[in-house]
Amino acid sequence: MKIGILGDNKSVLAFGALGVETFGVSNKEELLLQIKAIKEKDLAILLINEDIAQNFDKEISNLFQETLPACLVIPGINKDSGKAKEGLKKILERALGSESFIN
Amino acid sequence: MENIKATRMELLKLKRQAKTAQRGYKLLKEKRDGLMKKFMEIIRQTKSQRNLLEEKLSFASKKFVLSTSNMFSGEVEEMFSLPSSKISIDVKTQNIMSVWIPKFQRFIGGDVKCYSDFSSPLGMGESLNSFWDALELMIDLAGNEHSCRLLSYEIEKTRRRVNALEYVIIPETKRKIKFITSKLDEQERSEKIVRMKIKEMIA
Repeated sequence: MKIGILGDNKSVLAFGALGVETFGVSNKEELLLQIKAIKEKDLAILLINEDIAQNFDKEISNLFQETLPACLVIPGINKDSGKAKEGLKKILERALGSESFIN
Repeated sequence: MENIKATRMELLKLKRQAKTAQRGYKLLKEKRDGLMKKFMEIIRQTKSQRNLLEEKLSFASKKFVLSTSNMFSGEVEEMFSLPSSKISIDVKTQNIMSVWIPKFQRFIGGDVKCYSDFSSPLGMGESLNSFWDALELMIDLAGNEHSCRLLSYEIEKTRRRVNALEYVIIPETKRKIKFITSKLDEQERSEKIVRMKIKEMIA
């Protein structure tokens, strides 16, 4: 099975060289189309650019709940806004009730 | 309390319900603890991996942006149109307390270099190498973090169920049982008095 990356057109370029399947998007309509394409493909891992994860929270939220593909939010090219880390914080908060339980 | 029928039938039903609730509570509590144990095992590893990856990737992407800054994105795409690296991933799913989590086995082969040195900018090789470095870590982290996420959903659900049973359903059933028992006892006593009275009148 393969790896895919979902992100804005510029950020996904580098991953093309690694043999990762790229799903570049620039607006909401494209994103919805690509999500459909992702679901049809048999991907093992889906990397999601943090800008996409931040701006289209609602659209991609149901990708996170499936067993496969395993989703991973990765920091983008433009800035490190810490959104990727926030995902981990959220997971901790959901499981433990408070995030500061372990450090 | 008004809409409970104080009958023996109802009492039996409630007693059965209380027993089931108690058993469910115990089982769910065990499930929660089991999930939590697994979650803790994974999350520690995930946290350190995450920090490492963040560092590696932001370094790599900065390099990439700088080296391709004077190229069109079409050009870059064309350059990478025939990737020579081969990544394949074997997926196994593992069931932990009814949560299916993925387990990845990775096979990374080939080389990241799939372009000509003459047509590519200077910093390209370095930046792609750092991406290549991060790839292994990314695959591991994706599996771990996704497992954590799936576990956390289940933990949340289970915790709610445990709390609902502990603080709502079990006390409620107990109160109802107490109410019906006292009502039935009351009836029995009053009947006894009536019978005693009648006996007195006959005698």
